[in-house]
Amino acid sequence: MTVYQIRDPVHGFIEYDDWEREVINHPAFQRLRRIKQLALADFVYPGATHTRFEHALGTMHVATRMYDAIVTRQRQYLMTERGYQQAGLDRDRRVVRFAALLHDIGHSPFSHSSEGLFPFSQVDDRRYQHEDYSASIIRTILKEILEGHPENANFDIKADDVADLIEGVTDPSRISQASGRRLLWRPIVSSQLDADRSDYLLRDSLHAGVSYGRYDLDRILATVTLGLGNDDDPVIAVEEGGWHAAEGLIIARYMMFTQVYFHHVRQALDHHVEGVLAYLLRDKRDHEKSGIFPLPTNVEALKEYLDWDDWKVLGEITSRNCGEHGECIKNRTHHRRVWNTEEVPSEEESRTLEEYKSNLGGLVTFVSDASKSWYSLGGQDLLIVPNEPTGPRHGAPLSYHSNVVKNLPPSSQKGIYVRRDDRENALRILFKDH
Amino acid sequence: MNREIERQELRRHLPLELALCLEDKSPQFGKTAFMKLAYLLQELYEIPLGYRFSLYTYGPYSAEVLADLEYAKLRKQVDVEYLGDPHGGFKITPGGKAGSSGMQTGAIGNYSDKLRDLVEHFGAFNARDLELRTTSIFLWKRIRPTKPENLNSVVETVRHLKPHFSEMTIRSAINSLINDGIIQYFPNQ
Repeated sequence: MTVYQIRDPVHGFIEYDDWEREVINHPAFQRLRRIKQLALADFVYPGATHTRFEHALGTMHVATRMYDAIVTRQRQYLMTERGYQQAGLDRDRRVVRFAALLHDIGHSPFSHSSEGLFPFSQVDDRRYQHEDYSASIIRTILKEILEGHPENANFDIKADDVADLIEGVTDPSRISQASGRRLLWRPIVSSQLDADRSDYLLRDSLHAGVSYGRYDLDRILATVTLGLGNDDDPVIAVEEGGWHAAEGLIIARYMMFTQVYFHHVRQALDHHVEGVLAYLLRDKRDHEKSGIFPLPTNVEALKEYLDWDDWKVLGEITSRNCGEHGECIKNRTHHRRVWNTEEVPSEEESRTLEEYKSNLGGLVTFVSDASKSWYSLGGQDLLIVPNEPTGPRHGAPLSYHSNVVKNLPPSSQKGIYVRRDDRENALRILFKDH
Repeated sequence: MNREIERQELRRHLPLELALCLEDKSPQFGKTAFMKLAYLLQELYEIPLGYRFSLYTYGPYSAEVLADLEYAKLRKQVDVEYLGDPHGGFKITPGGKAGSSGMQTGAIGNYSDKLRDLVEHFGAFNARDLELRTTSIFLWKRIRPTKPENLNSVVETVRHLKPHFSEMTIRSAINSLINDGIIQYFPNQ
């Protein structure tokens, strides 16, 4: 099988083969070239124009390195305790690569900025997430290309195997001994120490031109392993020798959150992106009353969903009236933050927030809240285990080893925004001597 | 109260309410226990918390649950202490600014009966027992067994995910859930 290489600004050369190439060349995947990783963060950091396309390739690359590192370190355990043979390991490696490559294929335009427009599920009354769209696209639109490749005669991989690593097994009839143990690898695709986060911190940091997101990925990969959780289930962990690198990852994430992902201008632009998309979605006859994206539950709706990307939205903003939010983006007259709390608001600040909102009344257009951000930092501990190559061991959380992590609070900063033209008036109302 | 505000209110108070309810009941109310009890409250007792649980080898999990715990810790509603060896694991207790229970006034008060029921049936279990039971319930709700003969398929599926539990242990856990009326066989369609 031919192996191809593509040059990546973070990882150097990333390799893929014919089978993966067919997936990459599929229009649903190529669409990721037209979805920027950080939405309109380039209004603040002009270099941050990179796309989900390169992040998806990078995630596949890191996931593979994590998988290989764990298999190398825990081969004996995997073979004797989990019944793996080399063919099983090779097959699961393929599934992990596909899942990592496709984990973001269901993103809406401008990535997380427009996720507030996902519909609610009628099954459980919860808002769909981009992972639901990714899994549905894999199970339907990409099914043939994943399962029908001649190389799959050697693996018998199902589209469901790939989707299950992204959203968890939804149909227990698919849980066999092989698929049950494959869930071991799900944390590589989605967890506190997953390939997704490992890639995006480095990538976003590089393109934004900030150094906050850098951490020692090589050291983490040299120490990543399996540990034992509370009920003796194997979980992804880091050996004690790598805990400072793991600490670096957590700090990097914290810094990127406060400096890039939750930047006050980015918050305003996210608000406008959502406003424009709500306007455009309402504008379509079949979504006249909804202002939300099509459901991820049938192929026709998914095809319609995939028609949406950044280019289409920016084209609409450029070529016609997209309402107030479109003008704010086009002319960079985004709403302005007039007051904000500290990253961890005191009780007094929380009271002040309510008082200021009340004083400003109708001038307030929205209130940003870090605790509700997709990038929110809550619950970020990792398991650190002894450096023993003889199988998974119990360990202690990173916060036990690291005082920095133990005392790193999740940001719950809040900010009040008003229209640009109301800024001076708002400041006068809030601060009489302004 | 609209559903989004109710969800936020419930989630804001959940860590403290569970810490208060379990103070004298749980062998160790830690992060895993909190995760699994939140799952049970949402999926079994139908309290609309709005978490998105999905299946890992360690059972149903949602990162949002631990995020809510971190924010409760930040507000000093609860303390989260790592016990270290030999016990290991975390312990969640009411914090310095816990205040009083929201059962009388808050949205969570509407579900006080369900919370009491949860504590009665599951409060005394340790993390390992809760992981096994929540994994079993997660699969039970999806396999939808209609008669005792179907029990084997549930036991087998749990064992595929958790081979370190014996078949007898899994079967016993599920049987106790059935006997306690926590789960029932589904009617034939």
